[in-house]
Amino acid sequence: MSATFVQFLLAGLTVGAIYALIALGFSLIYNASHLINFAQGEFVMLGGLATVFVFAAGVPLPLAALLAILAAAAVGVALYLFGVAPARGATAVGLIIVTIGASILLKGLAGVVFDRNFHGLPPISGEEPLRILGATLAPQSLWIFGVTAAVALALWLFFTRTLQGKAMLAAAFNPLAAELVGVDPRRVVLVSFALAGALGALAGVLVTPLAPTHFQVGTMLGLKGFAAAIVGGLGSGPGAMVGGLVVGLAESLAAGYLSSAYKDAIAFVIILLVLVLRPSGLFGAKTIERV
Amino acid sequence: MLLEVEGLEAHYGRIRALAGVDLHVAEGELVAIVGANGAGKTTLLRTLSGVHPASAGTIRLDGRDITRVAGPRRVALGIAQVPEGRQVFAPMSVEDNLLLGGYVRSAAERTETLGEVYALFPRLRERRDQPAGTLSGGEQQMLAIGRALMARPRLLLLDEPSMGLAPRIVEQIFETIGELRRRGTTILLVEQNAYAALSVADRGYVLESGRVTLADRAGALLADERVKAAYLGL
Ligand SMILES: Nc1ncnc2c1ncn2[C@@H]1O[C@H](COP(=O)(O)OP(=O)(O)OP(=O)(O)O)[C@@H](O)[C@H]1O
Ligand SMILES: [Mg+2]
Repeated sequence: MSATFVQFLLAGLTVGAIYALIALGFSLIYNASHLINFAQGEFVMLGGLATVFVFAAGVPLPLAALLAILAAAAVGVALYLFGVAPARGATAVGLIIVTIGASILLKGLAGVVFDRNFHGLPPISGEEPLRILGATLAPQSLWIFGVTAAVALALWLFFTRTLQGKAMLAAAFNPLAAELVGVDPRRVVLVSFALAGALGALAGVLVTPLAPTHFQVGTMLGLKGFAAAIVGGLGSGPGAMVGGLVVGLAESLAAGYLSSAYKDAIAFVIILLVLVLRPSGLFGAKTIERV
Repeated sequence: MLLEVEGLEAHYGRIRALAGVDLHVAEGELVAIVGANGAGKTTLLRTLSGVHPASAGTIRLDGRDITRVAGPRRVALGIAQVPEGRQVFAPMSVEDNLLLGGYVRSAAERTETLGEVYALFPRLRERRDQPAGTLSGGEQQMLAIGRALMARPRLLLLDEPSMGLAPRIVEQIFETIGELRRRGTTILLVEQNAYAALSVADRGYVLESGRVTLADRAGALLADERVKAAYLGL
């Protein structure tokens, strides 16, 4: 294996893990409400920018990150309570428009509350790169791999080992039956929005040391997370993980071997390919509804 | 009186599916509601469970007005339903389906009731790890009943438990319903299979176009000429 190839692989896996976290947010909300939340990318932007500003105000980095993640979870809850819930009964397209509106609003607010400049964060464990098969790997990448794996494991345990997690799955499989055993469907959706907000923000916190953030980064990151989610099959947790890595690797290899001009186009190509060839994704059993 | 329903109405848009239903169920009773396709039986149970809104009338449980109480809260208050078409959580294991039935109860209560449900349906214990969707229709019906029992209901609502099952299985299901009745469970049973339902029930109501048109002891309804002609195919 050439060192360049390994370099592209590592870069692809790093960014792929970030996309996986964003994709998990799409899937959580889709499962709970059959809604595609196009404001998902804004959680990533909020997580990064809020951490930057709270950290700059003198709060230690881990605490700043935690506050930003909680804030994004609260924004997720607000999006549900004030955007999605009042539009109950709207068509799928109507609800998608609500989330697109929320996304524009959040971007606008971020541009005012924070600013319109690029900002970075210091990496968690310094900048001294590790050497792997002739390629280099930033320690931040290891943090990204580790945290993403830990989150995936925690979610897996939550959904397979706890009654609360199973109740959320049950509400996705059969909302009526879930309500009849006493699971409040609105609470399930609310918790999903909170979790999706937190996961998005976590992705933002982790990626900002490698790729500076800005009030508009959410658009592209959200799109790539969406591509990852549909590659894996919307609603599938393992699918979101694999989808994230697939999109990350495809993007990194295309940028490396073709031209970096293709980097952002790859996500669009993947979305089109999936929709045309395999609308249910790699792990999805049923086709998603046409919207 | 455990359940008292007065003047209950429910709509789907402009369609009035319940047009002022009055009925009651006493503690320990098995009450059957029979009626043709589209009479409003399912709507009645959905409204009692609070998953469909009442547009007029009152529902009282133990004298307490629960007409405006949200569906999930009513499970905690003691109303559990076995819905039409069973509605098991198909991809989840039999045991998870049952445990979810006890969602509103404490972990200790869940463990205890799970043992009781397995004792009642040994088949479910044998298949505890299987996805619910792979069970036969009769087993899924047992699972749906077991899941509702896990909530330790004071009032069990059953919506057409015999639907789509082979005669031998239907017999088993009605035996189980009789057994639950003997153990003191209060049951409101909705059926198109009027003969089987009235044979196990204490009392019955005939529902037509969203209204109760006849109410009597089950034996009397079985002997009623109008019931015989309309629902028993005699
Ligand atoms: N989701 C719905 N939307 C509109 N109308 C409905 C809906 N569900 C039921 N209805 C109508 O309400 C009336 C009562 O239906 P319901 O399902 O309660 O009857 P049922 O007695 O349970 O019938 P069945 O024996 O077929 O189960 C029918 O006229 C039906 O067409
Ligand atoms: Mg019905």
